[in-house]
Amino acid sequence: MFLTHPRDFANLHRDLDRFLADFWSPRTAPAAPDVRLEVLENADGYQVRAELPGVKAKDLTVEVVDDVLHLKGSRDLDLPEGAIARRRERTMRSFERSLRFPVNLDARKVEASLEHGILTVDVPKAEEAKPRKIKVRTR
Amino acid sequence: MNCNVPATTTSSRSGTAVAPRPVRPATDVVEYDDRFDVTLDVPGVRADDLDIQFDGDRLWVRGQTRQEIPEGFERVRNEQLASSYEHSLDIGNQVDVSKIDAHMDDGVLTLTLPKHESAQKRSISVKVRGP
Repeated sequence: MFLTHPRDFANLHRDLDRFLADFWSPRTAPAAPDVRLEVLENADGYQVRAELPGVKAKDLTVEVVDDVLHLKGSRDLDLPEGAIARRRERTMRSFERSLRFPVNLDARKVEASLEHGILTVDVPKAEEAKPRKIKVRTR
Repeated sequence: MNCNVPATTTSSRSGTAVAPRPVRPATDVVEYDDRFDVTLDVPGVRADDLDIQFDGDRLWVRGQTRQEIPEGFERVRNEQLASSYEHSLDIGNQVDVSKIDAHMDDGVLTLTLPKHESAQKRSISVKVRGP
């Protein structure tokens, strides 16, 4: 792979995280992801939260393909004319993260909201992936 | 000035459970002829949960998020989202502190720091007389 532009380095974080493996070895997470996220789980599904300061909903794509959630977006950091940058630490212009889940997902019921710079994605598990209580019959 | 860092430390029976320290937000400082704009990434913070103070020397910005784990959920992946932010800026003597303005949008805080009149660059055109 050729790295032709500094931005390509950022794309190295386009990690297709092996979700199950991550449960037990957090070191597989990117050392310094452009976007930090966390994943919560209950019996019905997952909630993914990501820090996306300054990203507008129109510049954000949330996609579920099979058991993978793709997040992609960008934000405008251009300075107006006549501005002189004295310090620039806000470097995230675009990001891409993909998360593979250990169970099948119900892609039709995924919901996403963006508030105060935090993206929240609710990802329900597919019916067959939810825990089922088996009734034990007695004779 | 109130110098207390927001109480983020919790103790447990074992004494090891300590909440993360405030995150220092990524910050841009941009200068214009008449002002400085300071922009800080503070995702998760609402305008109401911001505390901005000037102590005669430095401008302090503190903020807290309201991210709680809903009932019944457990965290299965953790990249340590910030629960609080803290940053201080030395703004020198060019800024008219009484006119500082703050604005929150999509988890980004923008501070506008107007310069004193005397610190603003003036361009004066000088007419040249000649024969």
